[in-house]
Amino acid sequence: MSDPEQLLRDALQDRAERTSYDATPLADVESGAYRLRRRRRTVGAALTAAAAVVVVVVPLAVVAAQDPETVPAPAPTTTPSVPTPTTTPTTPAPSGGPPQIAYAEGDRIHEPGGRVFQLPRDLGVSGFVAYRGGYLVADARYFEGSVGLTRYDAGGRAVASWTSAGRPVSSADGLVTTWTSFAPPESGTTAPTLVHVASSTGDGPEVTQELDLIQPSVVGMVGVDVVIEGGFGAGGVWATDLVSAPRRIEVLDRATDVSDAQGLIAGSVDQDAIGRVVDAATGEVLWERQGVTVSAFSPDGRYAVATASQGGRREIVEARTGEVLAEVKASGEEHFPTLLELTWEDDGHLLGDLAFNCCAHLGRVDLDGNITPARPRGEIGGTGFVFAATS
Amino acid sequence: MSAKTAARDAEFTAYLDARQPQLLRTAYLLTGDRHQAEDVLQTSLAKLYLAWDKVRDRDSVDAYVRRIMVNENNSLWRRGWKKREFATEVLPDREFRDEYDEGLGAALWDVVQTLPKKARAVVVLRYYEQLTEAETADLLGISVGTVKSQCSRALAALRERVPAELNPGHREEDR
Repeated sequence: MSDPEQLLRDALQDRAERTSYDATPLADVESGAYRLRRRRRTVGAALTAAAAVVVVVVPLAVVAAQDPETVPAPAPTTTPSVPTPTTTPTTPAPSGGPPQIAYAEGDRIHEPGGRVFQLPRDLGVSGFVAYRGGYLVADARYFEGSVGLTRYDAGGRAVASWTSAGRPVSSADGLVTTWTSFAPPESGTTAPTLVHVASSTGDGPEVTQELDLIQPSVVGMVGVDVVIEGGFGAGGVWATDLVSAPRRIEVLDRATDVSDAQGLIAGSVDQDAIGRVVDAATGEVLWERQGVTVSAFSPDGRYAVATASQGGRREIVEARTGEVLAEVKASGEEHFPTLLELTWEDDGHLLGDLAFNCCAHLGRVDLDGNITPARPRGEIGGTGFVFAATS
Repeated sequence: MSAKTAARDAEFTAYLDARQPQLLRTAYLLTGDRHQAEDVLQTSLAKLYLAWDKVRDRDSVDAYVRRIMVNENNSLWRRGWKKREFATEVLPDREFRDEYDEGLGAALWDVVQTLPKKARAVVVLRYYEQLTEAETADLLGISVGTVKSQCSRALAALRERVPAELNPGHREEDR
């Protein structure tokens, strides 16, 4: 064949030139952009409605328990017990009101609205997401970097279990759930190490990709990419669309969170000594700071939480610049609670797992760093709280 | 509308007017389907619009959009979960037929269409967009070696599968 490269150039050029197109006007682009912006919020509401319709016709195997402190009146028996999607609500959280996102406490998952999803065995919860009408739960059986991952159906029955690392994470719009699975080295068995992506409602295929990594864990999803932390061995931070081979994000050694809304990845280098925020599309380091861990992007991606390596001071920072906006007023000093975990309830509030006077408390943090109780006074927990993980 | 927004939209519109036809062609070659190409490009432009203020280097906008288009094309597997088909009594207004010649170009195009998406993206960026190997590797987030090997395989497939009688050099080579 005479110069196949030139033939290919000519053929592609000719093919492209001969095909006619309708140009997209600016109004359509703006409309598409608006839909992209709104999608994460409207889809969450749509899923809630869809789940409710499904559950009305499905006999319930388990009657969900009511949380007496947060639900003023018993719900009718036809009320669905299917978990509310763990996407962030659109309405601002009422000051002092119950949490507007799901959280786990011991073997119970508290859903917005007051329902409680009872897990059949108390294996601890290290992470969870709403999945296929039930939950996908990473337990606290931590061993050499791995945990157990169990899928519970709407009735609270365990229907599948894997070995995983980290926790399952849902996409920002709540439609897709991702996690990893592998055979633990101590099991004596062999199985491929996989990253899974599946429809959160179970109405689509589950896609997997084999990873050449040891005990990887999912950090989150940015666009179509799943961001993965490499675990033992090669380690590092990787992004994969499950079609092409995973690509390494060279500017990070570890990753802590992603923002799908802003296309950002938070992580660290130099053995966690330097916290960084990176543009996921270009790999550009937007900012970095010595001695902090950057985590927990707000749903709109405008804010993040920076935690000092020494002293544990927490700051709310501007996600793209690192500018400090407020210090969370909890320092671990006398009369102040210690913050164990923070996650965003909506674009203006965080929920905090607080340790104070040897007890766990659930607190709400506003953008000025002020903490108020998120559950009635006197209602304390002994095991701490875990929040659903969303990109 | 604020003056800042108006200026931003004017700048974006100028970019659309100047670059959209070329981007549409690239999207078509990536997807192999006109409607999918329009879908991919519309979504890509919407994402670009949202990120317009963040793309500081205006010279790199094309690369940014190409990358979004490649990712969008690869993400069609996700769209199957999001899209639902609805029954309708209204027929589409017209059928779309993709007409093209039946010669060498068609034979080459057939081979391109059978390439895996990743390899196809490499071929389109290298031989249509005429990016360098390094630029292609950077845009796709793969190594230069992978770009070379994907091109090499694609060309081998062309040599193997395009009928010899369609090759303009066929008769001369036979002499």
